Amino acid sequence: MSAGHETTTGPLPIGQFARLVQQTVKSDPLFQHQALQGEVSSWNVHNGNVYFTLRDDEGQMDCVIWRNARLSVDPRIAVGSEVVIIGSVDLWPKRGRLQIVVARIQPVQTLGAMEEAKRQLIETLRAEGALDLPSQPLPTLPKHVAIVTGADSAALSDMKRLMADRWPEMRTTVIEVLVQGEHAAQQIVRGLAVTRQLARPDVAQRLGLPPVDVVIVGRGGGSPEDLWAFNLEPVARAIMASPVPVISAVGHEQDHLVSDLVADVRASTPSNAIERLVPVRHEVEQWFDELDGRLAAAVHRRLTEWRQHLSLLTNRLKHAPSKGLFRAREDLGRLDHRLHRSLQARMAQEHQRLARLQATLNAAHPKRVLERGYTMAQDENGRVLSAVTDLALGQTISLQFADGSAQADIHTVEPKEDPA
Amino acid sequence: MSEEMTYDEALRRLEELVSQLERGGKNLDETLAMFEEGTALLKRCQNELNEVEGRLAELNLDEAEALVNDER
Repeated sequence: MSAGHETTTGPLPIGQFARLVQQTVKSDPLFQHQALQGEVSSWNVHNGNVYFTLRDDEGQMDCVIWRNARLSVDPRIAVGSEVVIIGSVDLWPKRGRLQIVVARIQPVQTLGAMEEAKRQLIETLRAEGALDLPSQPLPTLPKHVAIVTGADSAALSDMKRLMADRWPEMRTTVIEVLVQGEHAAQQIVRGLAVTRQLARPDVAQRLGLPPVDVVIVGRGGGSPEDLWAFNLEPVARAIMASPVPVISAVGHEQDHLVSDLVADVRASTPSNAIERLVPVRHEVEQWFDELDGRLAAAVHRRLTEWRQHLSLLTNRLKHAPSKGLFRAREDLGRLDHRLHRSLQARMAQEHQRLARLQATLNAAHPKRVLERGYTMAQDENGRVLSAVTDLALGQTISLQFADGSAQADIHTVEPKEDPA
Repeated sequence: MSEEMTYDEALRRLEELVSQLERGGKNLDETLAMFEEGTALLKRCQNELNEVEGRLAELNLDEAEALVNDER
C-alpha cells in the first residue's frame, strides 16, 4: 500500500502515514481488546494518567491508563509486578508513539510466587505456635451449624442433601460468599466474622436461636488458583479466631491448604464435613434404645442377685443371730453334736426305766398270780370279788384259773371274826 | 446436677453408669441410685434430640451481616 503511494504521488507526508498506521491498527481485531501479560518495568502517574511499560524477555510496549477511563487499579501494582491487561493498540499521530490503551489491569501472581507466600505464611504460623494448638472437639450433637460457602454451589447442595438424609431439620445457617477471585478472601473473612457473632449467646438469644456451635468453611474442588483464598493469611486468622470448632472443607486432594492446617478438623470435601459432623438420627435413637435396654437389664440382674443374696442372708441370720457366720456355723455344729449326745444318753436311760417298769408290770399281772395256783373270783359283771362280804347266798360267781374258768354257786358265807 | 451438664457430658456419664451397672459390685442403694440417675440422663439426652430441630436459613453476606449487627 505505501509502496503504491510512493510511486504514484511521491513521498507521503509522515503525519498522513501515521494516521494510516493508526487507522490500520484500530481496525484490526488482533490489536483491539487483546489480553496481554507482562511485567511492569516503569510506572509513572502524570495528571491522573498512568504511563507504564509492559515487558517480558522478548520485548516491551508502552501502555497508558487514561484518567477518564476510571479504572480500578490494584494498589499493589508497581514496578516488577506481573500483570494481565486488556488493551487496544493506538497511535497518536502527533507524537508517532505506538501505545496500548488499557481497559483493565490486574496483578497476576504466578503459582510459584503464590506457593512461596503460602510457605512463608505457614512458617509464620508455625513460629507463633498456631499450628500446635489443640483442636476443639466437634460437638456430638450440633445445635446450630454455620456454613460459609459459595451461593448456589454444588458443594452447598451436596451438603444440604446429605444433612437432610442424616438428620432432617438440623438447625443450620448458610452464609453465602464468593469463594474464588480477588474478593473471595475478604468475603470469607466477613462470613466467618458473622459466625463469630452467631456463636455469642447474647446475639443468638436476640435472634431466638441457639448459639452456633460449629462452623464449616469450604467449597468444592478447583484449580490451585481457584482455591487460593484458603491459603491467605486473613482467612487463616479468621478461622483461628473462631470461638467454636471450625471444619475446613475444601474439595481437593493435593497438599493441605493453610485453612486445613489452622482449622480444628480438615474434611476432604464439603460432603465429608457433613459426614463427620452430623450424626445419623435413627442410629442415635437406636443407640439410646440399646442403652435403655442395657440399663434396665443390668439393674434387673442386680436386683435378682440381691434378692437371692438376701434370702441366703436371712437364712443364715436365723441360725446365727449376732454372730459371725463362720463362728455361728461352728457353734451350731457343736451344739448339734452335744444335743445329739445328750439325747442318746437320755434315750438309754429311758430304755432301762421302761424295761424295769415292764418287768414290774409283768410280775404284777393277774395271769402270773393264777399261774402260781391262785384263783380269781369275779361277779356276773366281771368285777373282782376280793371280800366275802361282797358275796350273797345263791349268787353265781365266775372263778378264773390259769387254764380256764368255772361257775360256782355260793352255799355259805363265813366272814372272819374281826379281832379288832 | 445433670441440668448443668452438656449433652456430651450427660452421654458419657450415662455410658459409664451402664457399664458400671453391668460390671456389678455395687450395693443395693448405689445400684438403685445409679439406675435412677441413668434413667434421668437417658430421658434428658433423648429430649435433646428433639431440641436440635430447626430450619435451614440461607443468607447472602450482606443479609447475614445485617442480621447479626441489627439493634446493636
